[in-house]
Amino acid sequence: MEPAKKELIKEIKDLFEDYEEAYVPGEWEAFSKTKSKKRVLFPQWLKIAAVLLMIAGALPFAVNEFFKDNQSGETAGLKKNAVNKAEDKMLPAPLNASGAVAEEKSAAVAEINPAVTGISKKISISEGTVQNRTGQKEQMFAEQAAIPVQSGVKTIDVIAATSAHTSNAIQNEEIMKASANVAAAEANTVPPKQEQSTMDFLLSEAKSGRKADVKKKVKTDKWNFGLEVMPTVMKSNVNVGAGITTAYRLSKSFSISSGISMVKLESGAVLSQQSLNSQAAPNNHVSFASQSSRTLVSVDANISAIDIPIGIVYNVSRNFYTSVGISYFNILRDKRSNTYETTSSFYRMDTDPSTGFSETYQAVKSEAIAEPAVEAPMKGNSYIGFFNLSVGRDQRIFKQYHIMVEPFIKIPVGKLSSEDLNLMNSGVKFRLSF
Amino acid sequence: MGNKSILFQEIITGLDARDERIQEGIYKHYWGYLMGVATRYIKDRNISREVVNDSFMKAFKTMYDFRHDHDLVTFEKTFKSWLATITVRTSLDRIRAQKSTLVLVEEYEEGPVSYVEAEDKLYAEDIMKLLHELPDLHRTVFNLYEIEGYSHDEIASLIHIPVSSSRTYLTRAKHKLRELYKNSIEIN
Repeated sequence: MEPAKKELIKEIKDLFEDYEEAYVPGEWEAFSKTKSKKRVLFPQWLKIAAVLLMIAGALPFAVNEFFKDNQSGETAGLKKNAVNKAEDKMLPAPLNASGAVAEEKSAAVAEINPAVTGISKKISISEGTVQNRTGQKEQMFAEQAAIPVQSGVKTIDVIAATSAHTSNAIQNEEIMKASANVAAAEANTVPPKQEQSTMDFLLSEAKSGRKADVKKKVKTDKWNFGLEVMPTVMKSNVNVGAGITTAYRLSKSFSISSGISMVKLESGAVLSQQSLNSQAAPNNHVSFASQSSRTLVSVDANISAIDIPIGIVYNVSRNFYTSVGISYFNILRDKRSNTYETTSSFYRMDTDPSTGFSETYQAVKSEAIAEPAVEAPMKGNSYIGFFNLSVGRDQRIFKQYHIMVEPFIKIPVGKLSSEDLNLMNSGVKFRLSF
Repeated sequence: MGNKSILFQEIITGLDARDERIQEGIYKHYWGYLMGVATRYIKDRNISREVVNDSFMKAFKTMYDFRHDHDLVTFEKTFKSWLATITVRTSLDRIRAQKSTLVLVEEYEEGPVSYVEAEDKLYAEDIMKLLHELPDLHRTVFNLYEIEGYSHDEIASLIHIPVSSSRTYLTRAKHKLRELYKNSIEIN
């Protein structure tokens, strides 16, 4: 008897149900090679943890260095000013002294800037005084000297004096004129009131330096850093996360807070009966008699992610605050396990005891199978994942530490909210800030 | 106890002990089956091989958490179907990666053909050729629904299309297959 011909599509279905190719020798060897190449030295989570640790470790130093640099830079600047001013003040002295002791035979002005020349002309009135002073000291020797003088803003004049014995007043006058010119030029750049001693000056600068330090310290108080742990409660599980936080004070009442934390969310979802029916319906419709139907009953997910929140904090009072914000959520690991309900129908022959006739019954067998799901639909996704709301109490301990207890709620938005898992969670953040 | 049963017993023991040595046995046993799955979705044989290897890679990572009740028959069935699921999803990912989205490449008129009987014994190679004449999207929906047994809802969420489109593509794919099959018989 010729077997009944089946419909093409049914035939194709049967053909491919258990279709398999013959194994090609060498495939496993090739695969092993590729596999060993692809094997990574450290898993991704370990690398991220290492980076986080490094950041957490380096942050206090970096912050210290940053403020230290600013302070020392400022002090250095102040010191430089002090030196310049001291130079300004002290420079004429040796020149005067050299002028006073100079009884050189000849003096030559190697390079005289027109500006200096101009200045020397202007101050020619003081010449007489200088001459008087120089006139008191005669017949003295001076070593050959070259004195670089910084004049005013732009030029360097070099006055070269050769050592010689002199008795010529005119020559002395010339030298003194030159010296006086330079001195006058220097005097011109120095404010006339700088009559205080170097010590006084340094003391006053040190005071102003301290003032600058105080100002800076006030600035550093705008930032604060902290560590936090946050037990969270989801619909069915309790999870724990931890991280570092930072906040910048915008005004007395408002501040911006951010941070980075590692969170682990374990969630289970039982799919509704309605959706089960709708999923199962087409299968049953097509192949109720001989084929089995397979429906997804529940999904268990285990998600590890990095949560980077940013929010605005409003200080309601000294000890209480409230915060709203959003979270950038990067999922590192998304491990799922699906539980399927397999329903298969089969025929059963039975004899009816009352009539003696054998009857065929159609029976349905159903079993639940849990499988780890390979797909990680959310892995690697980076998007704004949560809307955060919290209120908190801030308690100051010791001098600079604060302990904060902050109940919060995280509401999934964007793509997270469209997943079949309910990732809404809430908990309490315990934060230590400094 | 047959060879197969010994293999599955070894696999179960290996999974429990998280023994990596069972991977070779699993690979060699299921390679042909998974190649059969992958080639239904992807025409290029080399890409299919890559897909199968990627699937094994994924499976070997997670299989040690595979929950089972130590019953050989059930295990054989569920483990095989789990591997097939991985391969199907990896194939879909590969198709998606090659094209930005899984789109309908060509449209064709729906023919009047609604019922065709298979004349003789069907050969997988021949049907595979016919399948690859279908547009990617139609072939994918056909495979997912008819052979893998997914529902239209599941297909819709898997390949990001509306449920109604899934139904339409399936009907079109079937029509086209029947048509192609009839033509191939007439030529021969």
